[in-house]
Amino acid sequence: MKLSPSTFIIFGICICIICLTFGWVTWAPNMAEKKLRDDNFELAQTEYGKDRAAHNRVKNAVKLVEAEGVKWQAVAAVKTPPPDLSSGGINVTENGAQLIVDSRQFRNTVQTAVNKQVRKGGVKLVGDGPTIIDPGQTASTILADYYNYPAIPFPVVIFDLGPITVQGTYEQITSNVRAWRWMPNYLAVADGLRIEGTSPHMTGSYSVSIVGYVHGSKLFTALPEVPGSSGTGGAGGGRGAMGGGMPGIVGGPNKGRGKPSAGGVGL
Amino acid sequence: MKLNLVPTHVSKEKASGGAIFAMFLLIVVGIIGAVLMVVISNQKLAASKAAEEDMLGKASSAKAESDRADALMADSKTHAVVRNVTLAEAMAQHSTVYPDLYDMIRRYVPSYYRVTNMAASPGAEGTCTVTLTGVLATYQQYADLGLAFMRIPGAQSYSPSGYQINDAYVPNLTPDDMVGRKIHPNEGNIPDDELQRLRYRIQQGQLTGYAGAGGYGDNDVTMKGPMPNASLVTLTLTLASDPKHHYDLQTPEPRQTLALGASTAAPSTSGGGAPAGFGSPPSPPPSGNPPAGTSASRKASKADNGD
Repeated sequence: MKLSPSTFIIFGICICIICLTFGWVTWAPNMAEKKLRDDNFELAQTEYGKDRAAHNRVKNAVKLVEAEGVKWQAVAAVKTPPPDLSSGGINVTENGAQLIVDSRQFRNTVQTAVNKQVRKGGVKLVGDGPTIIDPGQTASTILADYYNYPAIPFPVVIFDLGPITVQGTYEQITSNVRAWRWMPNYLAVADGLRIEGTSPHMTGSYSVSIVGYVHGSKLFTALPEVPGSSGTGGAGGGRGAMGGGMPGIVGGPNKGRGKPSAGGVGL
Repeated sequence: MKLNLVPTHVSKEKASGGAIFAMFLLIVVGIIGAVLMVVISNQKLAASKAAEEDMLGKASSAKAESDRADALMADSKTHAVVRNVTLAEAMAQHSTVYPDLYDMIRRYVPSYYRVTNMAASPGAEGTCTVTLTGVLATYQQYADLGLAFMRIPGAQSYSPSGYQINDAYVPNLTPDDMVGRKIHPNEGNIPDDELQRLRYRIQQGQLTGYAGAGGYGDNDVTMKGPMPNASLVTLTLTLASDPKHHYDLQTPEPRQTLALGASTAAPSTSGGGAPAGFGSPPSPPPSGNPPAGTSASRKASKADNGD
């Protein structure tokens, strides 16, 4: 049987279509995937375009942190009590039993500083002056009660001195209030100044709060003392790390031996 | 007529040759097309994949860098340092806020107002309330007082109170007083008859010694009150901060601020209204026009306030 020419043509066209269909079946998904990848590329390129901004952010963040660190160092240099007892500060790395003894001396140092501050400007005190509270005699709770640790992530003394009343001229009183700003070794804030009277016997009333950031990177755990006892309590307890201590001053790795202190969260 | 004796398939064979060639040509074209589509699409996809992976690597690097900045700022140590610095600055600045405010207000105290008490308290965010108590002698001064203090930049309102009107006034006529001479409150009419008037004047004279009003003459009294016929007037001023003047009196609270923990750097404040941010710039030195009056009156004003 002989086939007509059109049969061959049609056969060729069919085979061609089959081949091209096979090619299209591969082409179409590849192109679809390519489009997705191109879109993804553009998104990634957009993100990459922020690379310089990201570097700048890091630089700025580092600068900011460093600037804040420098500021804090400047504050800490003049507004924190010395790290040892002999210089008028406190060493909180001592065990609790020793700490209650040292804290009494520290309390006296703070009281002396406050007394000196109250006299600034040449004013005359009216009534009793402010009193620094006694640290107590309970070794197991002195860190929590007196040094606010771990309620605050690092040991810090905070004294709310209450109202102070002084007498003098307007200049003397305002100088006295302003002088709290420059109180050495402590951060102090005077608030609510009220002035009354007739010069030169004017009376100024205000309240003061004092904050002392305490140096120290390691703390003893609480001593096994029964709360409420008046003794110095038993010794013992391993030395634990404070977990960084006061930021910007003594922060450091955990160097403690034994069980870490209960509040070893640090900053 | 000619007869075509050639068989019919002879002419078809000749035509089929071209058709067969065309068929093979179509098949070859189809195969080449398919191969090209497969090869080209694969190449393009591979190139796209490579470019994408390369860019993803770079993007992830940029993201990591950005995350590093975030992590740096979100670090609890950073927060703690920032918090401590802002607290320290706020505490230091706050100790001078009240004296600075009073220094500024004193510049606007008129010479006729002898201030005996000055107090301030924080109000809503950026505002404060200043309460002044002092002595005034006349009702005119009482009226002028508010105008004098409203010159303070940022002064929103004032509220005076306490003036006891003691100025002389013209009374109504009575049978004994047909002239209507000026008298002070709580005084009777002044008689026209000379003898009765003499008796009236004698009755008015009650003091035989130093009056001692307002604690004057007594060294133990440190705050001198109003003179005779003067009044103790209390003035309440509301001041609002503007770009040039800051009247924030909200107090830093160290205990609460430090106890906030490392998770936040926002310190708390006390006082009414919303808390102000720490580390805000200190109040600039007071500006504005000094009170009107002569230098002598200003000196007197200073003296009234304790200079």
